[in-house]
Amino acid sequence: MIGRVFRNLLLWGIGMIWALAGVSKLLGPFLSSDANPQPTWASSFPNGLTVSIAILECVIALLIFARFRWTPLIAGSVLLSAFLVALWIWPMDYQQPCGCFGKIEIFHTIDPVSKIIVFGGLNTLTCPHILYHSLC
Amino acid sequence: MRWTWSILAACVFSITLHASDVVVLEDIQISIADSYTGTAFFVVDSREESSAWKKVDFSIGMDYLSMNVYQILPGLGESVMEARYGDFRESWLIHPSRFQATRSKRFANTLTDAGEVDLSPMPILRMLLNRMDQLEIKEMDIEKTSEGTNGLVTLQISDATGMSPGYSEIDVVDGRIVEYRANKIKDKFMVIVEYGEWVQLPCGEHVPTLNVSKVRPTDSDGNMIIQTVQIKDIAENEASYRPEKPQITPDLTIIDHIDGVTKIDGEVIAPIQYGDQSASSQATSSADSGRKASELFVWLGVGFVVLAGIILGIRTKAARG
Repeated sequence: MIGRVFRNLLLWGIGMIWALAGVSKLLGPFLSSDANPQPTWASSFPNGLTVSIAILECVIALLIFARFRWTPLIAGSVLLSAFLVALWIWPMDYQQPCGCFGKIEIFHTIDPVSKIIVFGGLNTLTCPHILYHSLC
Repeated sequence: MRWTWSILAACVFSITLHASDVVVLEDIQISIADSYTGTAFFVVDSREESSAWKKVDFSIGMDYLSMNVYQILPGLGESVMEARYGDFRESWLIHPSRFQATRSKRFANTLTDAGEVDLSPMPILRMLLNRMDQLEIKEMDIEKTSEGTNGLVTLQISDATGMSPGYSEIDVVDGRIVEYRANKIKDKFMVIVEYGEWVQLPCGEHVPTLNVSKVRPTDSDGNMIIQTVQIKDIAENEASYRPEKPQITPDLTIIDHIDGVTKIDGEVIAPIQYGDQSASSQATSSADSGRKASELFVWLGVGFVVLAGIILGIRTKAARG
């Protein structure tokens, strides 16, 4: 019972992070901005690409909430890997905000690669063959 | 048109040489084409030139600056990151993807704009010519040859110049600035820019075409971030040339620091709400904690993967047993 609650909390947490990442990017243009905006790493990409990624993140969140297991895990892993590749090809300026969560500043002082590694690790833990069935 | 910037035609600074001789700063002769355009390609670390990630179309003059910055997206073309324009009346910064434009006095106040020092030593010349009252020549060790001036100039730069404040050094070879080292903290320079592969323009003056820019993160004692800037398609500008200001389209929200208002479609919406002035110092102080938190996140992530491996191993063993 406790294991199941823990597993569900973990899955909901991961789903909420994906949802926050997607929704904040989609709502970004409608949120008020400060007088001295600092361009984020994400804002340097075409708007169409940013919107597509935001929609994909929302879809991953919905799939997790709908209790799909492999599909969101694979899609999430692919997306996180793509972020890593993009960060390697187009590195961020020093202390530039990443824009992972649009204009919402969450874990903004942490290096995005570190965020991807910890989030990727969490995703791996929820793999059906690992934590999911173990805690059922 | 030839320009030779005789540093300090107007200045009466006297400085001390190694040999304790007293000379005036006008003894240094530094020259560069006074106005030229080009395209710069930015490559990080020591990667291939073809892996440039940023392109800057620029036009640099003694009293103006224009830069259009693009992110290079292989297979997808180029994406406009920002456009910058500055002269002594006003400066513009356009972020098309954010639908935002900023008007300010940045160039007039700082005599440069973000990233210009990576393209050209022009901002150093502007500073030497216009901000001598805020500089202190700590030391000058120069010699004159038939090719021009060679030597080292060390400066103490005040915050007001807009350049990196603190102790700085300029290496001059044949009348050209070949290296600029700025913002010395604890015996380490935080910014170093090498200007290399100078080419001669039809006017007879030279400009650098291969610059190496090194920045040391303030929260790290480790390696510097190295960026190579290859400059191509250099052309000399006419004396009357002035770059066009970036186009301000109606969909842009204008944050006008000169008038202190925010405008949309030409209409004033509200006065600018300036944030906490201590925000930048807070950001600096949070940099160190951010680095520690980043390391913690990496170890957490690795821990999750290891835990996943252990669980998978136990389950596999149990299934076989």
